[in-house]
Amino acid sequence: MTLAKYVAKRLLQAIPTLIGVVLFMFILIRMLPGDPARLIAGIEATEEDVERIREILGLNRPLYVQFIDYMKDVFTGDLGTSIRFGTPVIGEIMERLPYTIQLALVSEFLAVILGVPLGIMAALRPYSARGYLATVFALIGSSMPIYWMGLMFIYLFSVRLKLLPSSGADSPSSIILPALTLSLLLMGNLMRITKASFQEVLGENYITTVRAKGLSERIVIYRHALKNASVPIITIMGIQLGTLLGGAILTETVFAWPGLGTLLIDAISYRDYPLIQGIVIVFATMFVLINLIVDVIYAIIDPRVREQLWAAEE
Amino acid sequence: MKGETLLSVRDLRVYYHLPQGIVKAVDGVSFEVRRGEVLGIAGESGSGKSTLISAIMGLVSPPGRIEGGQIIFEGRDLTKLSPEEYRRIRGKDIAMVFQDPVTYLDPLFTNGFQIAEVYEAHEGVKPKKVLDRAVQVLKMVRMADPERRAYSYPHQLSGGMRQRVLISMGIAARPKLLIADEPTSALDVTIQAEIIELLMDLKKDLGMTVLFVSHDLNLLAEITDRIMVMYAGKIAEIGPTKEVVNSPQHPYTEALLGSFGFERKKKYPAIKGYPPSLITPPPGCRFHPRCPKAFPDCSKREPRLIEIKPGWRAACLLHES
Amino acid sequence: MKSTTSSIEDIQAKIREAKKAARRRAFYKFRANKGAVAGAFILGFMLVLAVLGPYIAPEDPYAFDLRRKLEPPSWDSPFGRDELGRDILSRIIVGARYSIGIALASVFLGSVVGVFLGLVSGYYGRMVDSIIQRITDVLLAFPIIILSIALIAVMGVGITNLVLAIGISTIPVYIRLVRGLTLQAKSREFVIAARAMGKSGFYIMRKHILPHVLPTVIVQSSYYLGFTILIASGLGFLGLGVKPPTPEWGAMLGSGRTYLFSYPHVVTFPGIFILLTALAFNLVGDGLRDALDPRAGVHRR
Repeated sequence: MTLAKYVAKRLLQAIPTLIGVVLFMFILIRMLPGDPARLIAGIEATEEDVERIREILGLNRPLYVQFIDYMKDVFTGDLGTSIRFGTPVIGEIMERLPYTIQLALVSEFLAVILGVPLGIMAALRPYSARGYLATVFALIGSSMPIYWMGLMFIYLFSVRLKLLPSSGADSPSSIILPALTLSLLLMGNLMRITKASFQEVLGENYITTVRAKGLSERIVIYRHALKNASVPIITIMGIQLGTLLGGAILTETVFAWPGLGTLLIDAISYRDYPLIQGIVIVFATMFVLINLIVDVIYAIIDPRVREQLWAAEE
Repeated sequence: MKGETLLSVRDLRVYYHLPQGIVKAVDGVSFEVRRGEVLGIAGESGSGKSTLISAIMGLVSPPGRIEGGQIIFEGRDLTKLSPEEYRRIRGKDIAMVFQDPVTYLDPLFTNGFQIAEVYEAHEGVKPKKVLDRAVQVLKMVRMADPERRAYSYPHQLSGGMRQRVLISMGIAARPKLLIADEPTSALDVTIQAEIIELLMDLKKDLGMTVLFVSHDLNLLAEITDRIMVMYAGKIAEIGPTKEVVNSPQHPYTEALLGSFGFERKKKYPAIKGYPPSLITPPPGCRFHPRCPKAFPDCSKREPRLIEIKPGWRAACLLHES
Repeated sequence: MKSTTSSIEDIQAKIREAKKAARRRAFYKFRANKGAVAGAFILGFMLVLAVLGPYIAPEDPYAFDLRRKLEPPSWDSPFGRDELGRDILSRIIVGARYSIGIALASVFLGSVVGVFLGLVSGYYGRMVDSIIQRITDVLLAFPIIILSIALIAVMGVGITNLVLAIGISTIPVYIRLVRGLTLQAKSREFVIAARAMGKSGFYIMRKHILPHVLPTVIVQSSYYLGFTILIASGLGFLGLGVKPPTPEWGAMLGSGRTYLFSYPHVVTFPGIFILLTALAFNLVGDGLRDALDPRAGVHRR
C-alpha cells in the first residue's frame, strides 16, 4: 500500500463524519423555535416575503426529502442561498476563505518558528533564567484572552507607536498584528509540549548512542531529538487546529480581518441561517481534513506507524 | 606494543548530586587496561560499572560529575579535555557497544544511516554518501543480506540483528578500545554465543583492546584475560581471570560465581540481599551486611586493596589480619 | 464466623486508611507546587468576589452617570469609568459571579453528561457504544468555539443558552476520555469480581469505575475551567454571551472596544481579570495533574 492509497482510504473514512456534520447542522437549524421562515424574515416581513424564504429554504417539503436534497447539494458544492445577500453561500465563503487560510498559515508558521526553538531552549536549560522565562511565557500564553491581547496590540502598535494598521486587509502589513496575536495563542502550548517531549527524548538510550558515536550536540538535538520529539509536537499542532480556527474567529473580529470568522459573526447578527450553516460546515470540514493531514504526516515521519497503518489497511 | 598500558584510571570518583543526597557511584577506582587484552568488569547493577564506563566515554552528565581522579588514554588525561576534543575521541578511538538493542537504536533512521553517522562525526562526510561503507561494516559483523538491512529500520530486525547493528557502530571507525556493556544480556542463549564469538573475532582482526562489562562472571571467565569485580562503587577484586575464577579472594567474587553456572553453585552459597544504598553506604566494608564470612571488625574498618600475588589484588579484611 | 467478619472489617478499615493516606499524599504534593498554591489563592480571591460581589462593590454596577463617562482611573474609581459612566471596578467585582459562574456551570454540565455517557458507552459496549461514539465523532469534528457559536446562533443569546452551548461543546472530550478509562477498568480484577458477584451495571459503574476515572476527570475539568472562561468571555466579546447590561467581563471588553483608541482603560482591566482567572485554573490544573494523575494529557480543541 502506498501513501497515496492510504490518503484515499482516510478520505473515504472521513465521509461518514462529514455526513454527520451536515446532518447535525440540518437538525440544529430545524430546531429553531417557531416557523423558521417567519423567524428569518422578521416580524415586519409580509406574508409573500415569508413564502419566498420558505421557497428558498425548501421548507414546504417533507423533512427527509429536504435533508437528502440538502446533502446532494452540499456534496456538489451548493450550500444554498444567502438570505442577506441573495447570492450563493458557496460564493460568499470562497471569497472569504483565502483570508482565513492565509491568517491561519502565517500564524501557525510564526508559532512554530518561535515556539519550537523556545521550547527546546527551555528543555535544554530547565533551571536557567531563560528556561524559566520560557516556561512562564508558555503558561501565560495558554491563559491569554486572545481578543484582549489583540486590543492591547492595537493600542500599542497602532495607536501609540503608529507602526502598523489596526484593521482590514488593505496593505501587506495588515496581516502582521492579527497573525502575531493568533500565533501567541498557539505558541504557549507548543512550547510546553516541545519542552516536555524534548526532555523525554533526551533521556532516551538512543540519544546516548548518538553521543557515543562522537556526533556533535547540534546533531544530537536538531537531527535525532527533534525528529523523535516532532511526533508529540505534531499531535499537539493537530489538537490545536481547533484552537486555531476558533481563535481565528475572535482575531478576525478584533482586527476586522475579512475572513470566514467575521462573515460568520455578521451572518449571526443578520440571522442568515443558510450562510451560518454553510460556514460552520466548512469550518468542520477543514478541521476534519487537517486532522487527516496530521495523521498522514505521522506516517511519513515514523516508519513504525507507516507499517502498522498500512498493514491494518491491507 | 602488546602489553603496554593503553588506558589508566587513577583514583576516579564520580558522584551524582541528587536532592536526596550524594550518590558515590564510583568512589576511588584505579586500574589499568593493557593494549590487546580483554578486561572484564563484573558486578551487580548498582555496582558502579555503568557509571565507570560512562566516565571513560566522557558521557557523565548532570546531576552526575567527575569529582576527581584521572583517566589517562595513550598518555592524555581525558578528564582535562574540552568537550570538542573529547568528541573527536569518542566513537573513533574509544567506542562502545550498548546492551539493549531495542532502546539504543533510533527508531526513525535507517540502520545504514545510523552506522554511517560515525563517519560523519569523524570525517565530516554526509551519512547518505557513505552508506556503502556502512554495508561493508555490516558484512564484517556477518549480517545476512547487509545491503537490504542497511536500508531498513531497526524495528524491522530481530534482536540479534539489531545487536549486530550496534556492534557495527562500535567498530565502524576501528577503535583502539572497545567497551562492550552487557552486549548479550537481552538475547537468547544461541544468539548470545554467536555474538560473543563475533566480538572476539573482531577483536583479533581489528587488533582492538576490549573492556567487557557483565554481571555474569562465568561468561567473563571464558573470554577475558583479566577480571575486575566491582561492588558499591569500589573494586572488590582484580586479577588474572584464571586465578580469580579458580580461587576467588573476595567473598563477593565467590558469591557472584555462585549465582551462575552449575558446578560452582554447589561450591559457593548463592548471594543474598540487595546492593547497598550508595548515598549512605554501610560503614566499614560495604559488603559486610551480605557477607557470609563477615566478622565484627568488618563493620568498623574499611578494607584496602591487598596484593595477593603480583597483578592480583583483593579488598577484604580476611587478607589484612 | 465471628473472626471472618472482624477480618473483613479489618481489611475495610485498612483500605479506608490507605485511601486516606493516598489523599494526604496528593494534598502534600499539591501544596509543594508553588504555582498551584498561587493559583489556588487567586481562585479563592475570585470566588470571594463572585459570592460577595454586590456587597463589597463600592458602587452600583448598573448605575450610569453620563457626565462622568469614560473617566480615566482615579482615586474615586481606581479602574476608571465606562462609556455610560459606570464604575469599572464595581462592574468587575459583580461580574466575577457571571464570568466564573458560567465557566463552573458549563463544565459541570459537560462533565456530568460526558462522564455518564462515557461510562455507559465503555461499560455496555456494542450498540449503545457505537451510537454514542458516532455522535461523539461528529461533535468532535467541530472546534469547541465554533460548536458553541453554532448552538448559540440557533438558541439565541442569554446566560442559560451560553451555559448550555459551552457545556454541550465540552461533552465529547469527556466521553472519549471516560470511555477509554472505563474500558481499562473493565478488564481489572475488582470489576470482574463485582460482576461475578452479580452486582448491577450501574452499581459497578458508580462504586468501582467512577472512582477509577475521577482523578483524570478532575484534572481535565480544571483545565477546561480555564479554557471555558476564555471561551465564555470570547463569546461575550462577540456579543454572543450574556445580554447587556450584565457586567460579564468579556461583554465589558466587547462593548468597550470602540473606545480603545482614546480610553484604553475601558478594556484593560476586564482583560486582566480574565487572564488572571484562566491562569489560576491552569496553574491549579498543573498542580492537580502532578498530584493526581501524572500521565494525563491536556485535551483541548
